[in-house]
Amino acid sequence: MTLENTSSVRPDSPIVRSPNNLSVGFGRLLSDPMGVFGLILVSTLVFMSVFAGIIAPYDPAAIDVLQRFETPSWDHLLGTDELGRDVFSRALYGGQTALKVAFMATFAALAIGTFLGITAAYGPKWLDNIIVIMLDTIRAYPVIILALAVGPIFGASLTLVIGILVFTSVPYYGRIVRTAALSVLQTEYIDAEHAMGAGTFRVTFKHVLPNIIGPMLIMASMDIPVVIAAEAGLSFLGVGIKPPDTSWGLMLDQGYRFINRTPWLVIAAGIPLVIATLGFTFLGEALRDAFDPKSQRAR
Amino acid sequence: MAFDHQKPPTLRVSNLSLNFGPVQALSNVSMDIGHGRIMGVVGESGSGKSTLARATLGLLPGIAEISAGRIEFEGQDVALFDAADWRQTRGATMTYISQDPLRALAPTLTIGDLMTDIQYRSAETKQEKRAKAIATLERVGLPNPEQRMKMYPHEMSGGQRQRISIAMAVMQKPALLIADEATTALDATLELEIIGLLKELQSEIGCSMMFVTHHLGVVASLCDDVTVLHNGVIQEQGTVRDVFGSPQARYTKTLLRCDPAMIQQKTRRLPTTSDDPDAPLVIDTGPGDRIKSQKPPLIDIKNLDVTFRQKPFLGGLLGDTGYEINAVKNASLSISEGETIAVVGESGSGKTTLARTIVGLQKADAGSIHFGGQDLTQLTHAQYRTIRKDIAIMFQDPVGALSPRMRVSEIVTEPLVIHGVACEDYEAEARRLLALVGLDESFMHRYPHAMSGGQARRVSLARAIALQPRMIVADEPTAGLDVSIQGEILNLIAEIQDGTGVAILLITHNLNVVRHISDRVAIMYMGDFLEIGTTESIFANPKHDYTRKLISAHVHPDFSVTQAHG
Repeated sequence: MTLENTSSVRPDSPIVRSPNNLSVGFGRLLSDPMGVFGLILVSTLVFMSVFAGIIAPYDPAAIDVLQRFETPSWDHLLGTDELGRDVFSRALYGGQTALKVAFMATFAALAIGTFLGITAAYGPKWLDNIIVIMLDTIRAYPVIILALAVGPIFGASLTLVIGILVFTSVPYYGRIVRTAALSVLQTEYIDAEHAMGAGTFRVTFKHVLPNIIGPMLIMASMDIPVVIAAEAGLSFLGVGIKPPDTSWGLMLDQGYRFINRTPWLVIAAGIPLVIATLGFTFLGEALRDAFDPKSQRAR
Repeated sequence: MAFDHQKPPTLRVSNLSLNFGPVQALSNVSMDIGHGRIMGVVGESGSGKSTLARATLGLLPGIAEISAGRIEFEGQDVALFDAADWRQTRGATMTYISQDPLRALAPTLTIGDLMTDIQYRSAETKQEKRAKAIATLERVGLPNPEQRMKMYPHEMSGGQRQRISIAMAVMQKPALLIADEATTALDATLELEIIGLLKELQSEIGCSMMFVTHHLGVVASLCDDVTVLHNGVIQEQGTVRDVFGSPQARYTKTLLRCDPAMIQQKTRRLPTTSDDPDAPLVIDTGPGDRIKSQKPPLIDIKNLDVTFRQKPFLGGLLGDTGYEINAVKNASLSISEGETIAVVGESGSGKTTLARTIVGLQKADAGSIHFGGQDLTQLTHAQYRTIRKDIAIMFQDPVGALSPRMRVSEIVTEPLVIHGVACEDYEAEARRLLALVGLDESFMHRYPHAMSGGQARRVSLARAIALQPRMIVADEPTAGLDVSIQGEILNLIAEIQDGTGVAILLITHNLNVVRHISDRVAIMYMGDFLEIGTTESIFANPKHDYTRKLISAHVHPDFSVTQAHG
């Protein structure tokens, strides 16, 4: 029995954990087979899309009417479409569009949602009520119906797709941030900050935001596949990306018309869509498990 | 029946070693609980006492691994029990009372459902089970058991819920009753009642009992035998009379010494674990000029009222009246410079609301708080800011009061940043503040979650004194701390007071602590002060019945003053 180590100051007491939660979390992510699988899918996808300009053998918009509906060959890895465009190149550029839309829309929605959520939680009751009613009203609109309604008014474009997706995702983040911020605001350390005289700005940025942003980023990463699928859906319905730009949804739409003649077009656009959705979902779930201290015991 | 060698003890733990992954939770623990005996398992947090109770119940988490030894319940090795065996045992012959009865009782079932469901093994009719449930509830002292059978756990008070837990545990007349900190969450007066009840029921049923606690006083008044655990190793074991009367192990001696209830004389410096346990106690009455009444009052609270209201909206049409709780009513108190005043009361008496009102986290409805020539209740939010430099508050939860994503060095200097106090080197200032509270440089870059309760409490104190306030409001500064750490923190607060002359408003329900460190005591009951006086006069001749009840309710570990055992 040693009592010497129970003196007043114990710099090396056993409860000291590694302060670097980030490396612990990523370590745990790499121990999760699902996480590694998701990570591989996502990084492949990101690599292929970012370097589409180098990898793609053809210009995705280059029309070659002599080579329509080619089956896959060494010249055209995934064949050609009804205008003789190289499907493989188009799929690569489609990935670029998908990722651009997904990241921009998710990030913007997260930023706006966080701002509104924290304002609602911290602000006076009447402001809270207004923001919550506003968010719930937006949430009541189905995405597709909204897109079909505003698409013809503004004219389909990449900006419109992102705009619609941001608009419909904001309530999701706003609501969750508001709840998370409310629970942080009830803790003793926030009382302690107020008792010390800390102002709104300081409490919000130094104490509330850092304590909710981690889980929010993970939630956003799980939302990316939803946004990718939504973009594809909108483009498929003709209210999204317009030619000459490419999108998986657009390719599906065009391929669908010739599905009896050649199934390649639909497959070439469908497979990457499935890979993207699976990859981001796996990665998101693994991230959540790896960084959520509560799930530690479950594995 | 003479000494029965054939019959094994109710519970026999032999050479049990248990680990959670790489952490050794229990090593070589042996313990016998004989028939009809009450065994107290005492230890501080992390000593492995709850692990022992859970191992006995077969409720260990998946990562726990028993590396050696065995647990035998009535002669059977519990390691060999399968799910069906456990169902036969738990809740029938081996029952459990937890610390938190609100979490232990299923929230969607009525008391009646809970009490009759637990009798599922018996072949009696529904009416018989119900009658038995009501009889048991009556036995545990629950008023109007018939009506309460229809109520839900959240509609009961903490004490009532604990009575229900006890009723559920004793109804099946178990052979072994395991109670894990069953009285810790209760106020002192309630604690005494529950201990009395447990004792009666135990002798009525004739069961054995394992009582896990960190409270030495409870062990002295309830148990026959005691096992002292520290870091998973048994330090001492024997009858309560032997162990508490003449402790042998150094750890037991220290533990008993550190309990402020054990020290008869008033002392400003409490013993700590780093003292030599065999040296005579040092009684420190503090500087001679600590007579405060001559000094001008620093803060003057007059007729303070604080009410929590919820107005009914459209629900008023359906008869919802909303609610109105008078948390503090007509309270008056004045505090002088450099004095320590303790506000004592049970949970719900309004003491924390009073503290929050003083530091401006809660608005007062009526009355005044005069401080530095201003009435704090009339100040706007912006005007209050300057006052916050002079009044610091320490919150109850040691770790929870520190912002989790900030390092200690940032936390302690944050008041300087907030108030724009010129400081050339924040790092150096943080180091200086930490040194004042006895923490070395290695703590500078820690996060709150990587500290123990005592360490986090020191950081809170360092932050509180950063701006050299004139008053510190300390809300339960020893809550959640082990007895050995408690002394260190209180000594530190006293030292800082001696050095700076800061006034301290101490909010607590722990009278044993109050007796030693405060100059005056204010007894709070239902939002009002019943009496205010010097510590000596309140303890020597309390004027109110409630004060008397409160003082006598503090269970005493000194063996001579508690009832005899045999």
